[in-house]
Amino acid sequence: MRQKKSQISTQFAWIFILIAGAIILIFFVSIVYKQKAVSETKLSATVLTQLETILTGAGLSPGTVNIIDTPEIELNLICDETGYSTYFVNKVSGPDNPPQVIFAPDIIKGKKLITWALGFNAPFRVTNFLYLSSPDIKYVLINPSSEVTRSLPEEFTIEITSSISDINTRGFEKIRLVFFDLDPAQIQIPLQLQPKNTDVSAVRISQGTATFYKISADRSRFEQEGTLPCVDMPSLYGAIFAQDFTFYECSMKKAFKRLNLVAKIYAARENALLDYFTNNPNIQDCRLYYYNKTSDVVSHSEQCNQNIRNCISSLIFDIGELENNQINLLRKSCPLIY
Amino acid sequence: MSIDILKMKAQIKTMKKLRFQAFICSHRSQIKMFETIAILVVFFILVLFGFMFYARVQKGTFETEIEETTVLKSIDVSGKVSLLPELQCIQEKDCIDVLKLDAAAEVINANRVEYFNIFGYSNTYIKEIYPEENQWYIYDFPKEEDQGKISTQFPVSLYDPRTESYSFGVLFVDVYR
Amino acid sequence: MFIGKKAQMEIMGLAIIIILLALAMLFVVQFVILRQPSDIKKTFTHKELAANTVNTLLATTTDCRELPISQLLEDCADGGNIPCLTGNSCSQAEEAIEQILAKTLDEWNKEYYMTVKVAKDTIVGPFGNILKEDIPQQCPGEKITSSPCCILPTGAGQMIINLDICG
Repeated sequence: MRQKKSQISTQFAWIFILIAGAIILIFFVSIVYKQKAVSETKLSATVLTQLETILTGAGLSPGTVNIIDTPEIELNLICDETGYSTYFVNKVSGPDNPPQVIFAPDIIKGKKLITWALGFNAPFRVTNFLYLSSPDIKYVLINPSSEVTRSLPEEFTIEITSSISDINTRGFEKIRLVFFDLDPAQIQIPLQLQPKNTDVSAVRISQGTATFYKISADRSRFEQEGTLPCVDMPSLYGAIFAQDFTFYECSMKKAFKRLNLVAKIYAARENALLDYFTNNPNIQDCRLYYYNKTSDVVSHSEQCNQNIRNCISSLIFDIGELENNQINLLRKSCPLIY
Repeated sequence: MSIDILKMKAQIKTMKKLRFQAFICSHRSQIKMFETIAILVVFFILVLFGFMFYARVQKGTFETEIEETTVLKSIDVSGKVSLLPELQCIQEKDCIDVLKLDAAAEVINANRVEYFNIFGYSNTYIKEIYPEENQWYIYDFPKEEDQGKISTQFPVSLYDPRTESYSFGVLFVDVYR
Repeated sequence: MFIGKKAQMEIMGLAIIIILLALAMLFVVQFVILRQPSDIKKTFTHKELAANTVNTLLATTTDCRELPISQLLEDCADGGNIPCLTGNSCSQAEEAIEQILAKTLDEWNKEYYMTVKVAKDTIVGPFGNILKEDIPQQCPGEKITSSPCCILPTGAGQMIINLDICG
């Protein structure tokens, strides 16, 4: 009887030890998991902060290309029809409406980020356009002009071809087809581009206008999304790198908003110069050369918020006028407008 | 008689001792369990103290990081301001255009939301030091709670296109904590 | 032997745990609590402040024939031939530099020492607020210097303008 009692008590003791041990283990494992989640969020926040600095730095040096090594991240970029823009890393949100004008795909995955900046001048410096991509995104240019290919950095994954039937899609998450003379809506998408695991989109650049296409539901054809004139070469490159028409339009609206603010300052500057030379005439009679053309840029760029298509053609005209004005000021050795 | 009483007392004492030992023997497992539970309780109290200490240290680290971030922000804003197209000289030298300053102060302050991502919670102004003395308030967006600020001064050249002259100015960036 | 010493072994075990905990606490205190916060701002702003102050100063236009300080200094190194409303290029440059430094580094309570030299010859100044018997002294300890910036070519050789901010 006593022997049985001790056998039973031993078993109960072990059961108790197991339960207590399990509770302690569960407690510490749950702490570890919680810390892991906190650390991942902290890492994403750190990457986001550093990304902000990188994007600011990249945006300050026009003409430069940078390849940035990052931890394995998923960078999501948004620029929508309401004009709202942001980016987030692994679901950790970045700043709302960052000041940079970015043209990029909606998702960039991987360990490398390629940045390229070009100055947007209209005709004075407004801001720098920032183009983002990764080596896993392929840009296929079909019969491009030398003007376009000349400035495109080789750091991007670019293929120049005359036919889309030979395109190699292996290992690429996104394929961007850039047409120059062909109309994408008229062509049949080759079989290697049809699988759903490859994100395929197209843009056609012709006569200073960018027309965006998305792949149809059955993935056999391209359907037109929208079209916008390009103000200059940086805008044209923006059309190549932007995810789709909505993204491009949103970024261009952002650029024009910035143009509106900068143009107001230049308009005030021009008026101040005009006042000064009216009150202090000089030999060159500089007051005759300040026509207040920058005010036209102010009013037309304001319209871009409502009707971007119409305002762009007016802006292109205004830019031409300002450039002519500038030449006259240079000839007369008068202080320049920009 | 007294010997009997003494014997009885000794017997009672012995019996009490034996009863106590019997009690211990029969309740040994319960005592053991209580001991184990007590160890667990003490252990978790120690872990709790450890966590409280860790949280305090983390709080201190966070406060230091926030301070460092605020300092970096003031340096960041200083760098950006001198490169803003709204202020930069048209020669794109390292200088600020005085004619732009007057208009920029108005435009930037009227569009604080647009410029928030550049300036943040800060007070940015430029003072002309030599040869004249002037001041332009470019941007001010204070925080609701006043927790002090970190100031940075940055010498800048101020260019006047009317007289084609440069004056000595200072860019002040006060970042609110 | 150890069966009789079971309680003492348990106490030894507890003591070892306490020692380990104490060691861990020591490391935490040493590397976390007592860690010096990095003084980014001091390093950055001093370094940039020195070089930027000199560059901005040199580009500043003065009342003397609307010439910049750099040109006045170059003329001063070549003999001070440019006449100004009051004095010559040397006195005008010196006055302008003094005024600017007084309204900036002096007001911001920064100790500094600035020299303008061609080879070992001082052209104007020196300027500073670390005074010993009315003579500006060099920084006693650590300093941030504007060097290697700010070299002007003159007829007499290279003019080096150097600003050291102490601390």
